[in-house]
Amino acid sequence: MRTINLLPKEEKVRDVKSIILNVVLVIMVVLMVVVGILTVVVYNINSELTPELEDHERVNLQLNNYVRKLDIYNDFKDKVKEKEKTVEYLQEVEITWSDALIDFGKKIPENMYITLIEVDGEEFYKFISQAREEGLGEEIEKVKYLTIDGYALGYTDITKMLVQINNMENTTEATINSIYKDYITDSNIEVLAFTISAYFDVGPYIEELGLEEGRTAPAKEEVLEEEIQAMD
Amino acid sequence: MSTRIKIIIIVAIIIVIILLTVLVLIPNITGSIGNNTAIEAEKQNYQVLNNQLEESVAVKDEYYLLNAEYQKYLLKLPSESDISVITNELYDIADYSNVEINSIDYSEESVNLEKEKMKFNKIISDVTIVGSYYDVINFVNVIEKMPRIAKVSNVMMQSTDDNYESLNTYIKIEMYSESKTISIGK
Repeated sequence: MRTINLLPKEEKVRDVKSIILNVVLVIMVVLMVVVGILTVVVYNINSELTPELEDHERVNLQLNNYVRKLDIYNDFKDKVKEKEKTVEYLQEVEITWSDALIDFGKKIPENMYITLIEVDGEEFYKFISQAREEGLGEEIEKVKYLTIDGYALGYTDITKMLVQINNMENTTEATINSIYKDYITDSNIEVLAFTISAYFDVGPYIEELGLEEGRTAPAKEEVLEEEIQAMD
Repeated sequence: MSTRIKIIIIVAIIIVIILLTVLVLIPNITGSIGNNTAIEAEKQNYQVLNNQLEESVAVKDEYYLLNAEYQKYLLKLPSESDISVITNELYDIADYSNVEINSIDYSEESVNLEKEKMKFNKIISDVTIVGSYYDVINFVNVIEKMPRIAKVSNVMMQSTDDNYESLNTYIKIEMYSESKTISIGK
């Protein structure tokens, strides 16, 4: 049996405020859950990264210590290179005077007495050192290296000596500085006292060291001819 | 659920969210970014260190060869001036060459070549000897062939009035060393 309700129908009142609060509440709950999950995920990631970073740091620290220990070998290598460079520099230009003097001893003509021989490399070494530091000037100065004083019986002996010196290795020019008559009282002999100077041929050294190309020393023959003409 | 309770819950949730964000989420995100950057930097550093290590190990492997080279150069260019050693050597050479040493004067100067970026010490020995021509040449020759770099820069021979065979000779020798310490003697 059906009940018939004859009372006036109840009108449902919509509570908008309550609906909004419910929606906000749901959103807040969802947001809280999302933030919570995100926090857990980020915390886990961070927890994994921290020991990984520590591992890397530890390995690099050990590696760095080992590299620093081995640096001593690199320093030693640099030291050897530096020493090699200095030794090569010092040995690059070297004149062996003993060879020049042996050569000279064989070439002294008869009828000649040498009282002084001076071979001087200082001017040459100074010239090379200066050329290396500052470069060559416009004109290459003559580098004197040999001075000889002595006595000879005649002019021809002195000329022979001059020719021999001109033929010596490393000599670019030889000149007679002075000739004068002298008298040896003990032997009662009239002699000629002389002084000869010779100049170093720096051309080959300039080329070898690459200081400047195209520089050539005057030809020995030309210098010799000039000397003989001067003698005449 | 009354409206009041709902509002309290919402406020509480907001506070929780703010606290989570400020106290946990942001520090962890910042930390993660920082850690990640640091890990990348460490990885690059590892590569650099590894390369350095490989180079150093290679140098270590050739250490004995380098040491042999160093000993060779040390003979030519000693670390110290060693005037006493030089003096002994000069007297030995004089004995061998049959010449007599009259005097030895030492002086030292420091050489600084700016262009070559090189520094060394120059030990200058002024030696006066007496001997025959070829004995003097022999003396010079032995000095020139010394293991240590020795440059004879000046030789002046002069005959004496007393004896034709005996020559008074002045020889200037330049030797070199690394260090600056020296004991100057005569």
